[in-house]
Amino acid sequence: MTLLTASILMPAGDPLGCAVPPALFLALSYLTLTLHFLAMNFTVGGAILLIVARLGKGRDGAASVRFLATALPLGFSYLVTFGVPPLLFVQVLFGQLFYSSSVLVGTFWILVIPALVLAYAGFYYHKLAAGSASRKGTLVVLCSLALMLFVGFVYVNNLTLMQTPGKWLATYTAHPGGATLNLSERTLVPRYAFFILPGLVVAGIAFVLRGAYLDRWGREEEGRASRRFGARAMLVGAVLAWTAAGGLLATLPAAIRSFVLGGGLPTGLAGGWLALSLGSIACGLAAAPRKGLALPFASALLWACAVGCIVALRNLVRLEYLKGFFSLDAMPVNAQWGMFAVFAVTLVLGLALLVFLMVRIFPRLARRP
Amino acid sequence: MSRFLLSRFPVGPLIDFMAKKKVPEHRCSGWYTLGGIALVFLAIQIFTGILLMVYYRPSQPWASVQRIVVEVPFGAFIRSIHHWSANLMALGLFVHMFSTFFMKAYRPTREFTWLTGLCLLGLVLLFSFSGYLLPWDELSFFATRVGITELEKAPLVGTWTATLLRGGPDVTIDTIGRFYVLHVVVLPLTVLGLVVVHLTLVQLHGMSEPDSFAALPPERKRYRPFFTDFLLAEIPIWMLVTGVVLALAAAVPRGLAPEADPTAAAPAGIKPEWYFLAPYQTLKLFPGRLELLGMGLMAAAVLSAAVVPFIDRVVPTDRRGRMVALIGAAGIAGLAAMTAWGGLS
Amino acid sequence: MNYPVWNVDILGGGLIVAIIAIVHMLVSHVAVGGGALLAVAEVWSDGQPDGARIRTWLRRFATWFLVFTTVFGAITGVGIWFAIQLASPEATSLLIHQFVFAWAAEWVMFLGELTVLYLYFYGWDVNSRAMQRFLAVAYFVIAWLSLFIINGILSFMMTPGGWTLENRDIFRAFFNPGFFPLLLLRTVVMFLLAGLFGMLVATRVAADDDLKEKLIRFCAKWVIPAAVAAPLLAFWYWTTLPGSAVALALGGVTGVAGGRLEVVTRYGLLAGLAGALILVGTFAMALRPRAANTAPALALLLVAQLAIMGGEFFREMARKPYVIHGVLYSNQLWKEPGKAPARLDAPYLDAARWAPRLPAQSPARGEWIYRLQCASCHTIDGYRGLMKRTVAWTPAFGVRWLSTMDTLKVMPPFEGTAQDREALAAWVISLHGRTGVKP
Repeated sequence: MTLLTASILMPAGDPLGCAVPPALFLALSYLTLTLHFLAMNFTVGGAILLIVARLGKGRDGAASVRFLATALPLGFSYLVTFGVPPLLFVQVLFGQLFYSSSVLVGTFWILVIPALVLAYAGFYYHKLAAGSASRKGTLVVLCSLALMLFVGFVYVNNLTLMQTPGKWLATYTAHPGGATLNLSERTLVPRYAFFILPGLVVAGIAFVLRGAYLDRWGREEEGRASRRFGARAMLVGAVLAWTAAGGLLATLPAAIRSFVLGGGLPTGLAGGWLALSLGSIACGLAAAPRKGLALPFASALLWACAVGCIVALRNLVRLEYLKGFFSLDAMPVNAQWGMFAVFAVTLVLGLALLVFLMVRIFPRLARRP
Repeated sequence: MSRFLLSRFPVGPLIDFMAKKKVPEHRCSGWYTLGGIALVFLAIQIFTGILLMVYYRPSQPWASVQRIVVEVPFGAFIRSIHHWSANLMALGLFVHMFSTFFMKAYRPTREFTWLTGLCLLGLVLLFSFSGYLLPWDELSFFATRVGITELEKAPLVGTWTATLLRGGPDVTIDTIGRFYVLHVVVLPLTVLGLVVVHLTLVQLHGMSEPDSFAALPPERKRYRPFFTDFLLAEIPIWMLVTGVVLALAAAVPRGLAPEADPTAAAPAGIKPEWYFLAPYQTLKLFPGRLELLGMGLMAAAVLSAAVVPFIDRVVPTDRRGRMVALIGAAGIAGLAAMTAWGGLS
Repeated sequence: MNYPVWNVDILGGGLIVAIIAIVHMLVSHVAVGGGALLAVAEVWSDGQPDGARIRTWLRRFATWFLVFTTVFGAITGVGIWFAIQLASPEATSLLIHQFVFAWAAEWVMFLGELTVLYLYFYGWDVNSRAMQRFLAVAYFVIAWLSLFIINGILSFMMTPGGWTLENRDIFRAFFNPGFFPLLLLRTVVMFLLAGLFGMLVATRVAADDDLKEKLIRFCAKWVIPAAVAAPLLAFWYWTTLPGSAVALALGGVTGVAGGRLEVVTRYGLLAGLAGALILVGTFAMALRPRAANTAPALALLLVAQLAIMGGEFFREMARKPYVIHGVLYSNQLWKEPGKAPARLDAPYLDAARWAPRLPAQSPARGEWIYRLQCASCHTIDGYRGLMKRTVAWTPAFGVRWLSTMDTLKVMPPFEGTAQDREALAAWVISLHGRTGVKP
């Protein structure tokens, strides 16, 4: 076993190569992964706020519970749906890395599936079957939350292992069958925290936005409570996220840290994230005592852009980690422009239909008490 | 047309007879389907058994079964169905018995329904025992030999019964002749006859009502007529159990071990089929001369099952009735524990 | 061997894929067929005097349908993807790279399906009747298109047709010989499943016998024609199967006259017979719908699950020894290099990744060859267990068997030298507590 080296382990790339230039896949995955993170954050943060609202007493709490009971299964649905394209594109671009690390943590990787089914079913159970005051409902949401946190943890394990082929050998030697995680990774916990904790921010923004709309529909008292609740969650989440970011920077290997902080695009993205997130929180806090839709929307937009920065930075960091093992430039391109056109037309038509329907239906739908 | 048929086959009274029975609807109604399910297994057994008989040769048991498995079209599949259906029938009957027991359906005036049911369970186990030997492979041969040797130790009738079953002092090809006739003639006729008696009794008495249901005021009691409502609603469930048998036969086909060699040493780990594991394991607890005691205990258990309807008679359930239910629960736990133990050891 | 091998004791990775796939196949077909049923019932209810009551049932149907298909359908779909990544990374990589934009278009369908379904369901009270009808129809069309796309990829695995690794002709890969029969078969099956699911929901509406009767008869009309048509379409599909699969199903592995029933045949029988059971059961339900309650309706859906189990295992087994027919073996080795005698006879572990560099005489070589060449399909003593299959092995027999196992038509050829075969046989025999050396 000692004679194994990492270069022997690295699988050959797929003989079919890349269907369009990698940059296009990267762009598509940046977009969809940003949406995935937002939906994921909303659902995780929403589940936390749901528990808070269920434990708290009062009329506002009950309304929040109703709102989240409906919104969380939807959030869950879209988090899975927007998770699919990035997972597809990571396999196209980084297949030989991703499959290898997935198999190395295979037992936990497959457990993601039952965990997702149970977590998702839990949210629907909470919506359809659990009474609003029952203790069972709180417990079910707590279980769903725990399962989602487990799923996120497994993801962080797999994706950190994927970008450190140097560690595969030791992992594989110790556990050739896949029943292990990447727990020796120093960045594991801060990275996990950094991606999960903004959940409170996103769910908070949702409450601020909800509050703004409630105002418009003449339910001012409820609106104010919702905005305040949301702004508080945002603040807590952001402070935690900034702390986690610091922790992540501190645990990164020195070479990667100087890559991130050493100027150029990575530093720009990191700085952009900080600035945008600060702006988003400021808008959210400013919206709490005021009416109007502008501030809440600005807050949401700024946060989405901040997440976009992080998604791009995350990929640059990954490529930096992989230097010497793997490079996207070496990937052969066997162009499938015809198929790309089919996909693009499908996407445009699909989105057009959805936008048309949303515009017609959504305003009436959301207005219902 | 229907008038023509009805006048030639005046089945009206028969239908009335079937429609008269009403099935109470309550929380435990699901258990009422078990008897019907056992009948489905019986039908599958008769059908696949007849097909297997076409190619089975008692004079060359192993070779003919091998031919069924390897050469005969669909032979292996039919044999696997026969095997799985037999096992599920035994399981279904155990559950049927315990469900009637806990719903206390044995109480007067249904003593004889209970007794015929008990006999049927015994006969089905005998069915399995006799059928198990017929392929004459290593496993079946040695398991049967061990089984009969245990039987031989029974006082008074043991030796005599064992010799009668084996056709001599040891299990030989002659035993096949006896088991074959038992399996395809004697037991089927007896079982079919007894099934008719059992079903007629059920039909005449009507369904027994559990205490909680019987205590309801009449306007809250809900029934469904046995014919056609209950019967038709059961058909999809019968389809499901048939499907389960087919799926098991497809996924886990019955294998055929090498031909039995009576002179060879028994291969390691020979064990009876699961439904005989409990008595087998129990007997192991009583080594040497104590074995008689073990046998006595088991005989007592069977006997007490038979006399239950004559002990626990009062409706609604009194203290003695509750006692009987408790003992039954202990019995089911013991049976399950001994089976598991036997299976694991 | 390009990738590490995922090891699942007792069950085996292949069985994990199968379990998830079998559940997903039921739910996803209900998801498409149920869309058709929603659309038709929307229109039908408008013409009925008791349309409002039918729509109460429809709402119940939609609730169960939504939860069932989004929770179990969507997640088990992703689950198949997770499981095949682990069990067959090489094949997954091929399918991903060749069909990446088909998958991407499939994703657009998912997004559309979900969003339209949510607008339909949550908009129940605010949408106009015309809008609800439109949404139901749109949902069905989008869902069926998702079936259309995935069907191209799945049928490709069995019959890649004119596609080769060199020409990478996606048109021929997608519209392969199995595409249309399988598309129609799946379409019919999903109508059947939708009918069964509808009956189940109808029995839950309870209380009102007239309505129940009407609904169950309505649903039975979806099941019965489909159950009759399915075997015919299955036969059409059968005619497109590769010759080796047909020979295997008819002749069995040993090729004895009359056919020892191999597993592929048994599962084919299961699928067909379970279809007949559904037909009988549905007739019983339709004969007296008032008598129907939840248990029989659920029972029929479970029979359908068994039929799907038969069909899925049939598909897997008929493809053996390949995972992508004629291209990639089930154990992740490519056929092309496999044909080359130089590759077949090279020391296996020297060429393989994810294997330690062991000295030529090391007894561990056998275990590593097992891990990398056999463990994709076999476990040691669980699913497709080695122990059960090798009871009678001697070193000489084992080596001979390994040299000729590909002639059985269900296993790929052994890659490696005579020493590799000896090492593997010796390791297998050592599992039985015997030594590989003759006494």
